[in-house]
Amino acid sequence: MSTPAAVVNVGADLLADAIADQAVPVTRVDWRPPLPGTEDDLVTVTLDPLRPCGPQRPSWRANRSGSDRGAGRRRCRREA
Amino acid sequence: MTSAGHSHVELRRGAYADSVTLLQVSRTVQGVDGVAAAQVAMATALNVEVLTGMGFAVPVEATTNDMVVAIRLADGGSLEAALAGVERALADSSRRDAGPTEEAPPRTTGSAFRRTPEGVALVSVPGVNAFVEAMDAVEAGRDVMVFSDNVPLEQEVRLKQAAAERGLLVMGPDCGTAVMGGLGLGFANVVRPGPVGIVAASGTGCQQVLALLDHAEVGVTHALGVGGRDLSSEVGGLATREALRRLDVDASVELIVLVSKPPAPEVEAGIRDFAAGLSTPVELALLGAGHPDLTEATEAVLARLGRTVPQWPVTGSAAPPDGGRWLRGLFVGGTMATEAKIIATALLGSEGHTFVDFGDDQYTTGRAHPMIDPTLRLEHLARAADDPQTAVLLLDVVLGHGAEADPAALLAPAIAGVRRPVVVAVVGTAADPQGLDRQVRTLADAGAEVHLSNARATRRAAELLGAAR
Repeated sequence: MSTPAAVVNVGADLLADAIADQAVPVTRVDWRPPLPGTEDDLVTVTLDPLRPCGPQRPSWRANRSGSDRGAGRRRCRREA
Repeated sequence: MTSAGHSHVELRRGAYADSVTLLQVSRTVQGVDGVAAAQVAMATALNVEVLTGMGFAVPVEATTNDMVVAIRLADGGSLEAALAGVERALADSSRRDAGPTEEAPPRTTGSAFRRTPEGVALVSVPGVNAFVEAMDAVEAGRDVMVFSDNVPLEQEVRLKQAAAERGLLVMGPDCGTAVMGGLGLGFANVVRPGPVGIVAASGTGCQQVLALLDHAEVGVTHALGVGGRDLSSEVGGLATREALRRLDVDASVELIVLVSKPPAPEVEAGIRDFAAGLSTPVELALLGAGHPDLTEATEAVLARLGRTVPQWPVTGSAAPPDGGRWLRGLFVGGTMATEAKIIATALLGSEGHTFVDFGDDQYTTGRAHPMIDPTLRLEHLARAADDPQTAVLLLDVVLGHGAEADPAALLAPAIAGVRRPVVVAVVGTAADPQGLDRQVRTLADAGAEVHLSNARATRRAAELLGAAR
């Protein structure tokens, strides 16, 4: 296990600053809260097995077997 | 926008910044000339309650997606100057890369990894939103540290099951500390590389071991947090197994230390079996009545490595109390509180003494962790100091990346005003950004007795109460 080549930070900028201070590249996600009351719906969608990256899809199974990790990086859910 | 007398409350629809950033903004604006009080916060229920308690009238239409700017002016204060201070503080609050760019920043963790498909994710959004972002990382094939607390347990289980199926590591939720190949994530201490690898279901427990090993000049290459619930019956140690497996195959790790608050008995048994099957030796530091405390566990690690156990430093000296009956423990570290309670209960009995963890979910909903925002503990410290039943005060100060820049400076004036003995455990390393020596000296100068070991600090507090050491 080596030092992570980069960090994707979603949330407190203070923590991203601490990573940057250690000379590791940080991608800061410009995160905004979802509409109030939709949090549970987003969880439901995330767990939907019929989603492109859900457990029933080839990309999910490919990632599980480690044969095609890139497939797991396909578009999986909402995109800004 | 409303303005009544010297008070001004402004709702900014759709504006967002995290609670830590807004805490810093509020502090900055409070320092503007002519400002008597200022609070800039997202309009969560808790923050609206706080603002109302401060005497501000928050518009009823405010939602959690709105930012509230509340300012109370002193006589002669200028609202224009105060609002300019807000704008400056908001602009200065982020150190994002400067310069022109043609690419807008990613809006989700998934989109970030599609641009840069390497590294790990660090998630610290509110707990109710953390699962979706963390799953993005897992679906991208990346390890993730979930700093957020208040994540529902069933979501933690689903997240870790998905990660385990892919051989990925989920550190958290409520994981405050991790070190991966020397890179500190969250509230990690600055440590030298060395032969020890740590798996920790306890953020400040991990930091205590890091601090003690650093004082003994023993390095740590990896410290993988797994979240305080990982060894519960529901989660079953999913992340702990993955973390142990990774450290076992890392040639730089000679000894693994597993740190945890009291685990579920059946999970502990399973983890013991798993650890016994690894090729790298594992030292278990599992807190609980009758178990070694974290200092004793660290001493066992040093002995196993053939290193000398040093004297754990103590600075200052507290005098015995001249009144009161009870020990009052006020902690920012959950494991520090747990360890102190276990030790003090064994020495003093369970009646009357209190041990509060201000990092517990009930104290952090909608507000920054007490290692960043000490306000709540300072309020309780003032109350405990005024209570004639208080005999001894026991505190912790936890240093490291991301923690308050100078916690001793905030705590020292309060300690100096306390007439009871104050014992403090300062958990940190010599290279931490806050400066361990400076923090210790500031607290000792204020009258506290300062220990590096939380267990030793607790035993000293009990001794001051008249118990046998």
